[in-house]
Amino acid sequence: MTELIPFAACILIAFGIGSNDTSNALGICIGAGIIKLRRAILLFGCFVLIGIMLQGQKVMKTVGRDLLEVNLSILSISLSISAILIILSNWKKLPLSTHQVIIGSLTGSGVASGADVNFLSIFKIFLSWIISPLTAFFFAFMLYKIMEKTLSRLSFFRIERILRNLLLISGILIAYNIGANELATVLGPVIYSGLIGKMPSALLGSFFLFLGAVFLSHRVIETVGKGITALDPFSGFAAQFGAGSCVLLFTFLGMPVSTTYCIIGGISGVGMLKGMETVKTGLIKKVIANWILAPFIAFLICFAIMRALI
Amino acid sequence: MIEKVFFGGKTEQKVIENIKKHIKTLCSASDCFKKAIEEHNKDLIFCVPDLEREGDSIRREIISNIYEGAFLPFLRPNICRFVEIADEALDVVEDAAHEFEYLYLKLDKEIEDDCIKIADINTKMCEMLLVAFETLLSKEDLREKNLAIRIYEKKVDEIKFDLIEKLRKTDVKGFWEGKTLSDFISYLTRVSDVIEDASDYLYIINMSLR
Amino acid sequence: MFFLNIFFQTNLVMLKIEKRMKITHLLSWGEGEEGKLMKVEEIMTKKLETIEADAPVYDAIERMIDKRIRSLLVKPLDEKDVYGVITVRDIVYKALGKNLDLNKTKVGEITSKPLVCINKGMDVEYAVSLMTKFNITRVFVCDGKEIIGIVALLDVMASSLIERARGGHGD
Repeated sequence: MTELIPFAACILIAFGIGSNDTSNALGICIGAGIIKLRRAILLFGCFVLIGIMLQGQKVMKTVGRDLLEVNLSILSISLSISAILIILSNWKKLPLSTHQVIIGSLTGSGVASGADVNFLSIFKIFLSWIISPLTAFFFAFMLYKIMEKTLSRLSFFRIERILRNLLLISGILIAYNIGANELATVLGPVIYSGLIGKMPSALLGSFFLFLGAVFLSHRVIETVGKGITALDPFSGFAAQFGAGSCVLLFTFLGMPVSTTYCIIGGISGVGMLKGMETVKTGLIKKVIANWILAPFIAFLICFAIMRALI
Repeated sequence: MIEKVFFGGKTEQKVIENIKKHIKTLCSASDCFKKAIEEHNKDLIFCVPDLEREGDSIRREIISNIYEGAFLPFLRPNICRFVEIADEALDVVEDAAHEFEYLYLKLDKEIEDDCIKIADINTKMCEMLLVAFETLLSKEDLREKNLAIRIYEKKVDEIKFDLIEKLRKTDVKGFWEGKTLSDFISYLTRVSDVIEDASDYLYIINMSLR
Repeated sequence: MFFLNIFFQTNLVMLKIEKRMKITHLLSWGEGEEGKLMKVEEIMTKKLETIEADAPVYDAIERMIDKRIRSLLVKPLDEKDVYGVITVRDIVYKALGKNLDLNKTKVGEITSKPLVCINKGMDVEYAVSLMTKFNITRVFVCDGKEIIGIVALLDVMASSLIERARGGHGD
């Protein structure tokens, strides 16, 4: 019976990711009108599945095995708390990173139960969290410069045509990343605890993520999507693709990073080039606060509960 | 899905062709109007409202095509606005033609000459607008065409200044004749301003995606 | 038939040479493609502002400022006289520069005459070559003996730009 708890939690988290993070990938594509909402979600679902199938294992290994040896109780508590926190933040519309919450929870319950927590792993993950938005900033910056030198030279309608295709590719990249990185973070611990095999969990996870996207993503797409589409398509593409490639890079390295923060990094990179304040300092402060608080709160809560239970 | 990516090219092509058609309609109307003044031909004046109606229907088709899904949404309002400004030019030409009918096709020789000059420059501006639009498709420099249109507009301003001086010295037989004359000159000189606006808007569109 | 004044101000010469180089460049750009050269009567300004030769220089200044123009056609004093032209340059260098009394000095004293006039059917290219050769910035356009217009550097530049904008298009 208790084995179902991690499952339920996973399902909830996957659903949460679907409802909240779809906007990262598709906000631009739909805003760009390249593709209608329904088809976009279908496409999104496909590529999430492809992502987790093709490259999920690296991140899964990091979170599920390298970090600490998971057992049932750790799993149940950390995933349940994570699910609650994630759903709470979705509901309150706070930008919370799934990765940070999950890893914070796992670490918290792990330390509390005296399990063997690999601090080197934690350090590497922490480092990735710091470096990834900066890398995204850099990628977006360079990409925009290259686009200025090449794409700008063409005639107006040609640019429009090319940009439409590029934006679609960029959206697909983000969808792939959500599968390979984000979903993998959630499923990693479950798979490595032996509860369920890789294939079924990938399918289940993707399916519930897809449901989340189908039922609830539309309201977020309008609001969050505007963050990027407030930029013109030219800059928007540079920002999103820069962020996407950055996340892909870290996925290759097996590090779980947050696409949302990378996109913020990407937008800042492009904004810096244009000399305007695309991301307000107020927002950045909020983001940094979240970035520090989220894993710690998750850590503390799980730690406390674990201790209480033992 | 794939076909949506490539298929999309067709709707855009249609919109582009229609915009060219719309501007050509504007050119024809302006040309027709000029000939009507030159030749004192009342029949030619009737072609202008016909062309204006045709321009309206082309414009409606363009806008509905655009909102069916042509172009990035970011660009759609700009492109629509451009078409609307061009259509406004067409409306002004029609207004001028309308007033001209009431003047019973007679004007003082000097005033008539100036009006013909302005109508001629208007036609040239319309042609240049078409050329300018086509640079969005080719690698030519839009700025030159934009500058050419501004040069034309300044020429019209010069003539307009003189024309108004002459008008003030003209005798009119009554309020309505005076009003008609004044409105006619007003519309005639406004065409160039609207075309200049359209050209400036093209420049904005061009810059929006770089 | 054309007797011309030549200015010896070196700075002016440099400026004029630059301006003219730009214009001949623009002209030669459009020419080869179309093979059709513009006539001066197509680009000339027909509005001619005139002034009496015995009017004070001050009046000329006033007229130029109000009408925003840089030259005035000077009417002949009598039967034997010819038309002349007074330009802003004449006023600045010969009158203001030499501190002459603006009210007492007559336009006729600082005017350039006779003026350069070419037939209305001549090419713009020819007008520019004359301007280059004699270091002047405007030529008058004649139909027989009558002066009907004036072609200045600005007119040439504007029309060249328009030809350029149109010419590349091959309609």
